Amino acid sequence: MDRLRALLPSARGDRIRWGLAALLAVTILLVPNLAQVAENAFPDSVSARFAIFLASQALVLGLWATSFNLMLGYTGMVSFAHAAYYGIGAYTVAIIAHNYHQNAVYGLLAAPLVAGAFGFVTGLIALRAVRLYFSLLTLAISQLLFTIAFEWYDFTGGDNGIHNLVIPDWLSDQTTIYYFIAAVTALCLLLMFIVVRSPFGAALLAIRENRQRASSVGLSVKAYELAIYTIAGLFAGVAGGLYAIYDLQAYPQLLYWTTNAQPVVIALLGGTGSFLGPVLGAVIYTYLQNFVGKNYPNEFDIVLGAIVLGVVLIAPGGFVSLPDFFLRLRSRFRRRPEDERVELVESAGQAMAALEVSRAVASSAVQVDPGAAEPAGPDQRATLLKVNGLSKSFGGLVAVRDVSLNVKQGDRHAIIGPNGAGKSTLFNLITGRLKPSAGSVEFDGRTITGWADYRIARAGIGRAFQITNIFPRLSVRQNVQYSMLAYRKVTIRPFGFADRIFREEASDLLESVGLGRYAELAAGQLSHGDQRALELAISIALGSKLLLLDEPTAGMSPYETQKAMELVRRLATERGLTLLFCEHDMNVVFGTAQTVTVMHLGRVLTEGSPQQVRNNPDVQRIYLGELEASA
Amino acid sequence: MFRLTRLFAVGIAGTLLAVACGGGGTNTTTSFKGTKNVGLSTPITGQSAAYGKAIQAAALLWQDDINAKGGVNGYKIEVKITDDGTDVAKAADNTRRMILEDHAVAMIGAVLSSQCQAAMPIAHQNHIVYVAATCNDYRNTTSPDYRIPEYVSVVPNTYMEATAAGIDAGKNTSLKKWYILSPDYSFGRAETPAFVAALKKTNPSVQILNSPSEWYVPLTTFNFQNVIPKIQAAQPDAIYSNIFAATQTAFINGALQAQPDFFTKYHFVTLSSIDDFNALPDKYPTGIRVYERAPFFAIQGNSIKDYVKRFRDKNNFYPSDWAVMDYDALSIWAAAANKAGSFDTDKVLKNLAGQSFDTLRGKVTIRKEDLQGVVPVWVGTTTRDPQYPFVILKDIVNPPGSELVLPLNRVKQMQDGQCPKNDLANCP
Amino acid sequence: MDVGNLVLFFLAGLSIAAVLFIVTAGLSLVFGALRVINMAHGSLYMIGAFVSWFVIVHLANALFGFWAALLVAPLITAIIGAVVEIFVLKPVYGKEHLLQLLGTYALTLIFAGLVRKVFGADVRSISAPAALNSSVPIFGHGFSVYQLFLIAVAVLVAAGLYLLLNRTGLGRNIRAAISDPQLLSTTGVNVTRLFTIVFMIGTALAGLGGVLVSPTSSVDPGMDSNVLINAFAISVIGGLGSLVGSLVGAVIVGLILSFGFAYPPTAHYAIAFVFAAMVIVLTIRPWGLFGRAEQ
Repeated sequence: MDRLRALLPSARGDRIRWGLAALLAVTILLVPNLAQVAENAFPDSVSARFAIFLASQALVLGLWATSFNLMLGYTGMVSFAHAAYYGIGAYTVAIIAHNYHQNAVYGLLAAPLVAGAFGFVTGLIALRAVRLYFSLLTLAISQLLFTIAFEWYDFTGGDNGIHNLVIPDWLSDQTTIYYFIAAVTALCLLLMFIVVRSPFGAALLAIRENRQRASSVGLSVKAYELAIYTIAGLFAGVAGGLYAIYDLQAYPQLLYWTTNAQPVVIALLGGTGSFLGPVLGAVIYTYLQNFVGKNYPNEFDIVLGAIVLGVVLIAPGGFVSLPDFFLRLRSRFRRRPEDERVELVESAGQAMAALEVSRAVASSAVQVDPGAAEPAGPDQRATLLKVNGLSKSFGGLVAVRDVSLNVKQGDRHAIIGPNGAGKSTLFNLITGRLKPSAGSVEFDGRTITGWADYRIARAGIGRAFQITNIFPRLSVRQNVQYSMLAYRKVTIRPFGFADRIFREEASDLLESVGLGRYAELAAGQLSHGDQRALELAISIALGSKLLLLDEPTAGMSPYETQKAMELVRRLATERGLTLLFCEHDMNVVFGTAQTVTVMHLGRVLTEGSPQQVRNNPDVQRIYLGELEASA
Repeated sequence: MFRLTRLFAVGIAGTLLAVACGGGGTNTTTSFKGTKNVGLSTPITGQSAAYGKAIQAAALLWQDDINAKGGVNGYKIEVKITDDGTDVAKAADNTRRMILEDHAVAMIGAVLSSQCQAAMPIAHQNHIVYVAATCNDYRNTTSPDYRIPEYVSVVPNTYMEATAAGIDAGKNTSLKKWYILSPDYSFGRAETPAFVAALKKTNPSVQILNSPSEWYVPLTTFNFQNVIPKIQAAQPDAIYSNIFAATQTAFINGALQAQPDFFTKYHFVTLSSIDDFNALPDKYPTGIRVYERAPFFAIQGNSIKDYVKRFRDKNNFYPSDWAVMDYDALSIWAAAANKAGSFDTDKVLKNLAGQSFDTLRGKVTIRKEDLQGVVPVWVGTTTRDPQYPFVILKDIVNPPGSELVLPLNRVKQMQDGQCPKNDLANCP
Repeated sequence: MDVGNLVLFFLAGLSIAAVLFIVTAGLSLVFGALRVINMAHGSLYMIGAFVSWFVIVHLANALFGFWAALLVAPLITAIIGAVVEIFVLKPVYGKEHLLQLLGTYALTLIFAGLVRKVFGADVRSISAPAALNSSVPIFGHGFSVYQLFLIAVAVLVAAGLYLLLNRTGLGRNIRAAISDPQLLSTTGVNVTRLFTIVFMIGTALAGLGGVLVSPTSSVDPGMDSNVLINAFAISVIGGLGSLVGSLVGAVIVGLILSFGFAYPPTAHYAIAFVFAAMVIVLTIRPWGLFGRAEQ
């Protein structure tokens, strides 16, 4: 809990951060003037030209590290190939200027395209793996690219690289280059800022928080990862191109795997949790490198190592987390009422009990499916989900064997069976989390067998999980809001403010499920019961045609159970939602379901109305009897 | 427990910072007009840190010497030493900082050719003399891509030293089948063809066993267990190598490990330096043919003897080749600046071009056309001498620089861009 | 190329693989149990090499020096490992992978600086004991006894690790940690101590690798990053956390380096082949040959 609180910035900390950002912007504008003033004051120890050069360097490193942080901070990907795209950007400028004798600025236009293209192609390969394997695969790719740069003597200049680039005359003055770099950097930062605040950025945050949940609300995780990997590579290409323009060279070491430590360290120093953190980190890093390198050349590595270690152990949030760090430190000594309130907010687990069923059902967040809610008897309704001879085996173990199942439109269909009957596996097969060994699944007239999970989600099959499955570091409102964005395919939009779309709808829905007052709290801070309510709210918000509920009432009190099932029941009848759920609580099953399927040892034992199932002697023997015996 | 760990971490970090920041001293100045800085960017950390250690020591000794003699043009000289961590970008950054912030009046060159090539444009932009004492790619003075008018070389370039080695090797006509081994980077690619050319010219009947695409081995090879069997399988009479520093140590150690009589079974010719001798104090093979840029024990004259003595007294180790050449670089620049009576780059360059200087290596002339020092190379056979803790050379030949330098017409062709890909082999 | 040469290249490849296996086994074991990639693994390998140089040159006489170093260096790296685990890793368990990577990366910088301060920046070398310092004829070529010794040690280490993991209570706990660390903590095992022990075993293997490689190569300040990249490649090809994977991966990389370099058309790119192999294996099996799919 302590950790989650540390991740959610306080409002006061936020104000300080905006102040810092403004200060940073003003300072960047004034660098050449300030440098001149400093040089006039201390002509022996300060060189304005050098200070301006360092500032150019800091800006480019900041741009590079910010592009890295698109992956690290916003999507949770650790790439070890980011130096390669930076290097490719630098080489693009160098090769166009040197080999083809063209204007270096044209090279700068080509750099993001070339780096982005490399990023896309190598990303396709790298993203076959996840997490650490992804990181190590990027490492291998970056070493291959390094080898090409190192060995291709005719084109890249081999290990020497390309030096002494010619740049246009109008750019050759140090101050002009600086303003040029500042302008390009500002433009890139603005574009990146738009992206991270957009619905597309919301999808990235959702993926960072919970890949599995992100898929189940309809996000193609790999596609989004590939997109951001390419975008990050593209901006790294701009940074690399700018590097070649101010340092007039490109050489293979830029691509070497150890160079990847630079953006990581810079992003960490500044703070990966904040958009401008890496820029601030770059300023600190450049200063440190210069100061320590100049005064303690023999100890550079030890000092840098000690600083990085100190940040990791003491302030993993980086420099931008310091305001919050100090605020917390202060509030420990001087408790003020407002600080206290901020710290002590934690939900009480009362959401379910406060559920307003009618309001939730009427909530505008729920997508209306006209014509679906016709009042008809179960027999006349069309089949929505048709499972045909579905089997799944893990090695030698058959978990689901030849299961066939029809779920009618608008039905409330329960699946029951003892533990190990194969219910969860069946759900995973239907939602695409697992690929069936045999058999087919048809949904809404389409065969969806073997589809990826996010496609099935988009086709209209929603799911609530047995184990609470939310986006812990997003706010409660964002959990609902971003899920809606994802499901309605708004997340392909890389512009606009994600937090402003569907805001009302999400708030309304949250009010109705009793989470209204916790809307701005990190979802991970909710109590367990309230997280279940949130989970349900996400599922409702999607407006799926078919909702799969895996033990929806596990861990709820009888009263909460009653409320939750009432909500589900009414959604089904009034909004045309079809339900498929598995549940251990027989009261819930027989109180809610219209159709019941009994599974045993991976097979379907019988199917029928609750009454038929209850009276089936086989069911009584293997299942109900067993339950009663154990109860 | 957790608090304690944090406290400990803070303590460790603090201690490390304190250790790192300790030290440093001050000098008092008297009767100088002021202080002028000379910049030196060298690897103190990273892969080539061993170079930097000797270079740093030589520069500090020179600084004491020159100031004892009254400095340059009445100014006290301070050598600003910064660490480049064997990194290209840092070498460039250091050069820029020392020129702009420390107002360095001259720069002494870096170790790697790519580092020098990264720093040269900066020296050129600011019009500062750049004296190379270690990096020695011949293209630095000849290629239109790299060449700058401020670049002066006091080290035998790749062409010169490889030619010296090739002529010497060709004289042993009993060696017919050669195996070539070179590091896969531009130093090797510049030096090796020059050696092969000189070898074939001196002894046209030699046969090179491996094809040029096999000459170069990656420097990142962590040991040579894969290279040595390949040489054994090729069964050469002789091996030529210009692998150096840690990789040379790895190669020799690995070869001795694989086959204790490796260096007697195959005649071995290699580039070497005192550093490399030192790395294998007891094991450096004797009887192999070595070429060196500035082995102090082989150099004649009193100034080198005096230098070695003072260097040892101060540092407690022998000066490496780099320690000799960096000292020379500083001395030559100071002599020219004194002669010019100014630190102005144009005036200093004018007093360098075509002039001769007294150095630790004897009289050295800076050729007017390309500012390449006409410096000698030492070739000898390794042997043990109880006086030294490492091998030294016997049967030394010491071809003067005038026999080794690139002919001027070739230099001109290259400088004019008539040799495609800046490669000597492609000249008309 | 005749059979003799092929055998020579094969043995050379195996002897390269031997040291790489020992180093990688440590890296992989630590990853398997602790879910931490130890970037400082190469530094401990370097420290092992420098300690062995120090022991041989300054403490023991040359006759027993190597054998003494073989014991002392892994012991010292294990102790350093314990300190690192307790004071650097424990505070960041359960946080993002990145913090663990960066914490150990910071250590690589600090260790590089400290090694230079303690042992100096010079390149060093050590010799194998006289008994191993000879060659035996194999198909007409001399082949180093020491390299055969390396292969034998690697086999012993592999067998020892197998026995440790499969025949002892400690090994059972380690295997449990590898398959499910969360479950393990509920079974009453002292996980805190277990992690420290596993990390010490890992760093001891790094130190052992450093001692073993030194007589065939040099002891120099750059050896940390060179071995690390190879160990990464092997552990990824074989599958992180798998002992068999480390063994197979090391043999693959050893043979690639040996045969890849042996013939003209490919000699130039032998190093790139290792990374190409890594890309190919991971593209087909994203969790390595013997690794387990991660969710």
